[in-house]
Amino acid sequence: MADRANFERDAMQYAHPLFSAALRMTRNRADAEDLVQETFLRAFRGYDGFKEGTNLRAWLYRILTNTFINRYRQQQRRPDEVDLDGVEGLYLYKRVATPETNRAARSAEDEVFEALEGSDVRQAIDKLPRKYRMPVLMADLEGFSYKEIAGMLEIPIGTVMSRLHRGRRALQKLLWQTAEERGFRTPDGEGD
Amino acid sequence: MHRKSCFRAATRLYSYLDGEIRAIRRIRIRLHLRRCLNCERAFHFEKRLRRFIRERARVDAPPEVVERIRRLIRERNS
Repeated sequence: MADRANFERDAMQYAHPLFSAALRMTRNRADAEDLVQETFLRAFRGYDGFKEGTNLRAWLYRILTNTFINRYRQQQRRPDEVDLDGVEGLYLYKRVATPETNRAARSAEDEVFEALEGSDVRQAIDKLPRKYRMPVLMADLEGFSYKEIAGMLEIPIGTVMSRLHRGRRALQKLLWQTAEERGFRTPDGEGD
Repeated sequence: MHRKSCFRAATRLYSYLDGEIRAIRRIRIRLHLRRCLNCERAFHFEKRLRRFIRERARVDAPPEVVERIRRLIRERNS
C-alpha cells in the first residue's frame, strides 16, 4: 500500500506527460488543465489503493482516461474531420520513398519530417475521432501495450488493434495533406 | 525481392513495432529485413515517424498548473 505522504514526490513527475495526453484527449487547454487537476486529486484520494512497486504512470493514466471518459461522455461530438476509409498501409512512406537507385532523392524521406512542425502533428492527432484517437495516443505517445489499452478503454484487444490500425493510417494521411499544404512535393518532381 | 515474405513482413509491421509479436515471428521478420532493403527502409521510416509523432506531440503542463496541483495536494496532506 502506498502512503499519501509520498504522493507528491512520486506522482508529480508525471504532470507533463499527463498534461500532454489530456490536451490531446480534450483538444482544449482549459479542459486539459481541469482534467489533469482532477486526475491528480482523485489519484491522491485513492493512493492507498495503489500497490507500490507497480506501474504508477499506468495507474495515473488509467485514472486520467476514466475521468475523461466519464466527464465528456455526453459532450457534443465534433463532426469527424477525417475520412478513415480506403487509406492504404504505409501511406506516408509510399509518398516520399524513391526507388533504391535514386540515391540523391532518398533525402525526401528526411525532408518530410522537416516540413512538418509540432503544431501540425498535434492538429492532425486532434482531427482523429475519439474512438481512434484514444488508442493512438495510448500506443504511440505513451507506449502502452494492446492489453493495457484494452483494459483502460474496456474494449477487446482485437478492437484495439483494428482501431489503432485505422487511426494510424488516417493520421498518416492527415500528415501528408499538411505536408503538401506546406509545399512538400513527391521526389519524382511532379510539382504543382 | 521476395514477394511473399515482403507481404508477410508488411502485414506484421505494426505488431512488430509495437512489440506485440511472438519471438519466432520477430526473428523471421528481422531476418527478412536484413535481406530486403525495401522492407528495411519502410520499417525504418515507420519507426522514425512514430518517434517523430511522439516527440512533437509532447506539451509541458503550464508551471502555474503544476504549482496549483502541488498546493492542493499539500493542503490535503496537512
